[in-house]
Amino acid sequence: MTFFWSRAGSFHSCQEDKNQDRVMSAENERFTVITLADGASGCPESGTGAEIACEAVTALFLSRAEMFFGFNRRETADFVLGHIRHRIKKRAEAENRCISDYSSTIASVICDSRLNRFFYFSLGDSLIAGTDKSRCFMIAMPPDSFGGTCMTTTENAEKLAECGVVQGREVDTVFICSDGAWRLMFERNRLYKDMERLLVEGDFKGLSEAVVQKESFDDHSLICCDMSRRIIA
Amino acid sequence: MMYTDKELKAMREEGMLTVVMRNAMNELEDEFTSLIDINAFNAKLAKLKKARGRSDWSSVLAGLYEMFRSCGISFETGRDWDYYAELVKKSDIPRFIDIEDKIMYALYKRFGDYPSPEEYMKRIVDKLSNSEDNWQNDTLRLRILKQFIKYGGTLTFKRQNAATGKNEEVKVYNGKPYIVKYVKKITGKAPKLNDILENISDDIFSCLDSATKDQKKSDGTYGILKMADDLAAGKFRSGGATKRSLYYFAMVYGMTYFSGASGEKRDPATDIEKNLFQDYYTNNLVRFITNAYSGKLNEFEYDPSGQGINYKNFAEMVYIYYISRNISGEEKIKRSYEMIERLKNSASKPVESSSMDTVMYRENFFTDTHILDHNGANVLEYSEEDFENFIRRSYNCNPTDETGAAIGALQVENDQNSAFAAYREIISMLEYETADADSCNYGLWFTDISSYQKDGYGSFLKKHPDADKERFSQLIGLLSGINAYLGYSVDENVNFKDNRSGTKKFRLRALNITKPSEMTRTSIVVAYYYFYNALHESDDPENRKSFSGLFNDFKDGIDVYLEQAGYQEFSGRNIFDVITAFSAYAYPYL
Repeated sequence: MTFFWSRAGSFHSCQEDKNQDRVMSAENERFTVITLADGASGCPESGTGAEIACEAVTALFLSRAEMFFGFNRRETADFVLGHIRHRIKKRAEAENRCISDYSSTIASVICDSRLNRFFYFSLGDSLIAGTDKSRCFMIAMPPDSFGGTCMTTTENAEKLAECGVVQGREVDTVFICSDGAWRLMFERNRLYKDMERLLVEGDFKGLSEAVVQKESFDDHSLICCDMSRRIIA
Repeated sequence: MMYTDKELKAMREEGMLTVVMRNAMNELEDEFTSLIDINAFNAKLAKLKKARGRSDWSSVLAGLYEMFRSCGISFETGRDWDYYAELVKKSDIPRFIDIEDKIMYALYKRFGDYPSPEEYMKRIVDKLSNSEDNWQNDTLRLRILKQFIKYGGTLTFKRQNAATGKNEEVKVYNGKPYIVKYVKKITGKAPKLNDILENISDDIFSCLDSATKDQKKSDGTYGILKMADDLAAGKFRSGGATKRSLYYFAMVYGMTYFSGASGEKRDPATDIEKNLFQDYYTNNLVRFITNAYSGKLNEFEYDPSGQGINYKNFAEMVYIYYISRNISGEEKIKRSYEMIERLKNSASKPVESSSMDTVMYRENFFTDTHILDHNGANVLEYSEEDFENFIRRSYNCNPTDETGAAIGALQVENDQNSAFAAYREIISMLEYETADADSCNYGLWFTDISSYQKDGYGSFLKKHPDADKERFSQLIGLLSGINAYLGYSVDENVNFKDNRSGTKKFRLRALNITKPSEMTRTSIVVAYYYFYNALHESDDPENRKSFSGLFNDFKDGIDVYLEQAGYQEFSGRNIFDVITAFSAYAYPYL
């Protein structure tokens, strides 16, 4: 089961631009894939770019899920980003645009329900985290954004992509937040206590309501996979 | 993804509105990757020839394609061996010996991209300053000083003396009377906080030019000014002085500590470990060519350990506890100072022995998931009283050395047993691989730095008319600094030969660490460099790796030890690491 929200921030809701975050999920009997892409505001087609990235990665991860659990970091980064860029390039050529017009971040998780493990991939400043019965733990944290945020179209982005496998621990939920979302949920480096409690309890609907109370300039999105089927949404 | 109006404006002005980050990590490592010599191509062709009709043909061919791409040579895919052999023959591929000049030129072009400690400090200050303070146009040291004055209470506070009951002023750093006097001279009246912040300028630091050593000490007349000046310029002092000021810096700038507790993330902008201990306070050799260090090497800490937070030290644990609290910077400084004083005064040595590994020590209380005590509670969420009792019970708070002499609080339990164990393991492997570990002193292998120092830079400047002599001189200074860790310079070599002709050889300092307290990250890198070279000296040339292949291989090997030691991983962001790896790449071929 998956749960998500994706909302435009005040910057976009009062302009003609729409929400440039995209979330997507897909599943088969064994694997669930959740993906989030965050289009770069300054790029004219970043919403489309985020959509392309989301679709490409979700389809790729679901069709070859098992393979990624055996890949090393660099192989995965080369493969995944090559796949996204190929699609962006085709779209850019068709629309006579530059590929960097389609810049977005990308983060995705493959949850393997049979072996109780998951694979994660992240490029950019999204946050991937999980919960068990007592706590919320971080899996992939946003890197230092000095010099800008790394995007799908950044040259040599392969070097900054993060990926890995988490196994051998009880996990109830795995979720991905865009930077707009985690900025609303954290005070400096700590989750607000009430939000942490909602996450640990699996009350994502409550979390969504708590987040929406806060004023957000940026688009904010969260997508979650419930590995224990105890989510409240 | 969101950008501020200011960022978007700047991007528009630079014509890079759509380019969010043009190139990630386009560093020296990438420049070196394209430096492939004719031997590497010939070795790959020989391997390809052997692979004819075998299943590994495609993978060997893919490697050859990668080499062509790295060198910018156009090629057709799917052709036979003769085509590629002919292409290599026709292309102007240099011999390794010719590559030295290319290496030096690549270094010359790119070494300026590696930030100095001062640049790292500026990034931190820019990121963490309150923009409403409007100090952006001040010098870096003045901004730091103002931050301490406004958010740290000039590092002085009043407290009641428990014995006499009288109020007394505690000076964590001295300097307030001088600052007040300085401003009073300008305004003509006793200044308030705002008067001080509005009236001090960089000129206030001019007193340091003629100050005595005592005046520059933390309790000296200009203590706080000297501290701000040192932090801004990346001047590292020994004996724990720099570390102490870094913790106070973290407090006044609201930095965070990532403990791994539930609901906590590492915030790259404010994280103390990443920003202060990995980027700033590390053996960043770029500091050797900064104005602050030029000609004054003996004043500073030559080789910062690179250890970061010492989890065995009680004072550092107190600092971390207060950095994690949601109170003002001034309160953090005051309360941490007082708790450390109380712990020192009531110290008795705990049961745990100082020979305990730092990593083990951390895991006892600071597990890899979150900071727990024996009952599973997060010690950073203890009340102050409980935390103080916990530290008193569990840590050695006695600031004396083994002879009973007084030492600073940050010098207590300063041994790095985990790092020393990792280092000893590398030295054992080196001694196994080479019959004569004492002769491991050749330093940088791809160029002879001393010839540049002796003969000048004429040949380089002639080949590269666009090169600037001053800048090239800086590069030679940097390489000399690196070579000083990796091997002997010419003068030292004379000494070395004299010794060799006698009865005694001596090892490089980095290969001769005898005490855990002397451990540094640099020593592990140097020891591993000589081990790696000895291990691969006789490798089959057909199996020669590309530079990026070697870099990753070197990194995979050394990171096991660096992680065990609690040091920063081997990284393309560290110029010492990149140049050391490149020297290992050059070693078998020159």
